[in-house]
Amino acid sequence: MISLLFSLYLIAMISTIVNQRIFSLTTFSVALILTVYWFSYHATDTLDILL
Amino acid sequence: MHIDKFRLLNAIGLILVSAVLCNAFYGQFVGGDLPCPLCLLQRVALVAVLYGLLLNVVYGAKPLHYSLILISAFLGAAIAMRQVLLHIIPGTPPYGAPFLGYHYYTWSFVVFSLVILGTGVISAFSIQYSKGSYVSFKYQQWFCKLAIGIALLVTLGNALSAFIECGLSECPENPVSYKLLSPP
Repeated sequence: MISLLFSLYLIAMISTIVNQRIFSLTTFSVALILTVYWFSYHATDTLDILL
Repeated sequence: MHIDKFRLLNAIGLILVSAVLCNAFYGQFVGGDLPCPLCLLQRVALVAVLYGLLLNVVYGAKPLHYSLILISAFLGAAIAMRQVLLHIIPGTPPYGAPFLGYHYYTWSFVVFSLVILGTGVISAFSIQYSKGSYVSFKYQQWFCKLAIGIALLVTLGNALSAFIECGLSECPENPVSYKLLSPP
């Protein structure tokens, strides 16, 4: 999942460089929403205090 | 300050944030500390900050780009703070080895705070918004090319590292080995 997030940001970056601005911003938005979701998943997980 | 100077300033930002991510790699590969899920999410937020800086380098500075940097840095600070709070509970061991007296998640919170502060200051210079258009990689200044290249490599490195550590599934809470390099 985390590697997917990094990959989405990488795609957004490459899209920026090749002037695909709308696609880039869309990909970034999707990645950001998934990041928030994944953070929420870990933040509300049962605390494993030996992290 | 000339408009191109702001592109350069954002390129310097790209280098600095990439350096923070490289330092995390140092802790991972030299120090032997495998990143936990929250650690990886902080790296993800740093990459999101890189994206905002990259937009400023490629398209010129725009308020939207600075907003994306601020949102990403705020998210990163929230993730770092969550981890700091986990580890200040009495009797809770810290995660990983300290770096210059503090743990990586504490440094991470400091870095995100500095990004928010720096973005707040730099975005106040309205001259940078007067014009600015797309500049292809070929016509970028050499320093901007270098910064873009490093940012892309660092992001790719993180994607590969996370894939080797966790595969496509959820990362373990307390990772001790790379999932794809361990015998089944």
